Amino acid sequence: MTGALVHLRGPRATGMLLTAPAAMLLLVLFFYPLATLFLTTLHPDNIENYARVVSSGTYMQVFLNTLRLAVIVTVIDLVIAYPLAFYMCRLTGGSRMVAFFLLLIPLWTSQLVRTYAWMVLLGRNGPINSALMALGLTDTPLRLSNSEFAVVIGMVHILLPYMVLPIYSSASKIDRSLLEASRGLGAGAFSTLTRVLIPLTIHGVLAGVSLVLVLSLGVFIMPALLGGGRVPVIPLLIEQQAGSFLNWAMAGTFCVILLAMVLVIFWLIKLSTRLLVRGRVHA
Amino acid sequence: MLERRSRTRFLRRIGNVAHHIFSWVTFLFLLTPLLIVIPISFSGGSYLSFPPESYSTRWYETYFAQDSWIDATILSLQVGVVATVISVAVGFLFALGITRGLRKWGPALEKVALAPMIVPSIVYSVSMYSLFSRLGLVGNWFGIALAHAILCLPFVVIVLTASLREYDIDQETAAMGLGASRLTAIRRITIPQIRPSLLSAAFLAFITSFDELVVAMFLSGTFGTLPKKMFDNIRLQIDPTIAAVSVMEILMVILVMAVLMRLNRANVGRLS
Repeated sequence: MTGALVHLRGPRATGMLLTAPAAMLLLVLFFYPLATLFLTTLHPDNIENYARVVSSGTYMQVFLNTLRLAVIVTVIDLVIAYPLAFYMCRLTGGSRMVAFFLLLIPLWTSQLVRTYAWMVLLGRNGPINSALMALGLTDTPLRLSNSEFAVVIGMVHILLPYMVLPIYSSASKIDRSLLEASRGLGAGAFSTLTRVLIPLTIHGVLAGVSLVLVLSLGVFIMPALLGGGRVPVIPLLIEQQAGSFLNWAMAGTFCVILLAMVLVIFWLIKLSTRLLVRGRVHA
Repeated sequence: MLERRSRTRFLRRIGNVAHHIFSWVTFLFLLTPLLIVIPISFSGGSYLSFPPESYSTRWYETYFAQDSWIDATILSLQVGVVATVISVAVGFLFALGITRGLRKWGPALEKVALAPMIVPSIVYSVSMYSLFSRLGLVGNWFGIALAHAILCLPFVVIVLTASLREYDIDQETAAMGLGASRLTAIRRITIPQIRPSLLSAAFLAFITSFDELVVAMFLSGTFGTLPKKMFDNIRLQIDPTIAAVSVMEILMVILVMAVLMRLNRANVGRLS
């Protein structure tokens, strides 16, 4: 049947036939519900929710806080991931396998498991507090858990692999002789970094940054469990409106705003990638 | 001159050592939370302390003795398997389509299939809740599996298009030139060669569904998947049963990963 179609209508018909099931599934179970959600928030009964949100200082504060947290996590992950990705490029054979194993096990382990582990680690009687007290650095246990600090650590931990992998993939393509050339021509470590390494890995860096930024805006588990109610972010607001107040219209409005933030950031990074890459070609 | 050169060499060596230390400390940071749950899962007391004052296997016994844990696990396995089968079947056909017939539109179509990765899961959950409540599918495990299949699809498509693009399509064409239909060529020549990628895709899809909390929280009624049960448990009473469950999940991941890495030795990078 498929074979007959190939001969009758050519490869394009086959291609369309093959992509049809996924396209249908995405249309019905992904794009349609999201479009309906968006249209519902524009309904005359609900449209004033937007005005309510924008005029509310509390809600605006939560939006800013969500964005701030995402930026903090992304910057920390970038600073850690960049040297780590280059380190992984230097490794060969068995030690490279081990490094990948260590990077991927946390990535594939349940977020709930990892969040729970951080709750234990940062808890009042947790190992970190015990160690600090044993070393005499503090007399009473520090309140590490149920704070923004805990949420940031948990998010940095969970999102780090998403930053390392794209940077690794562009760093691994760099020709090592370029570095020797840069050194041979008298460039120091710093100018080799800024004028050779960073331009050559900018694709990976921006891919990692956009992935981590976008994912950290939507994170629910860490603020819910590690924040102890002290770290207000949009996903918690949505859950509260839908779960506790059963105000689905308001939850929908917050969803649209969160999605808009994600899409704008995604698009901005895409745009800057294009500009930076073109700039490099012209230079 | 000579002095300066030996100074740079010295500085470079220090830099190298620092790079080593920094990287392995980071790996330790990644691994520590997973290691810490092991002793806790074997603790004898009923409250959390580290290191535990006594050791026992009582939390593993609690897990296996309570129907609510076992039911949640079976439900999650069921949802995970169905979501995996749907997303791999549909995703494989999709990847074939965009690497064969629709090469011009391929990249654009691929981006469409990756869209579920960008949309925050809570936004997707709210939109699916309103769709499913109209269809009466809230509280139905198959509904969760369908929604999960959408979330798994991007991972399947990424892994399979990458592997199909790398695969030498001439082999398929040769088989067809020798009289095989395209279907036979794909089944007998292409699929066996990309089997490791198919397995990675299936594993990623399964893990994505098996760990997923937010969609399951919104779409399940009174019953709950394993992540939902764990989430409620962590919120209400932290007892080390969670640690026991965590250790079993970590072991499962390590086991499957070791098998996949063995099969996919040349392409470890793609497992991400």
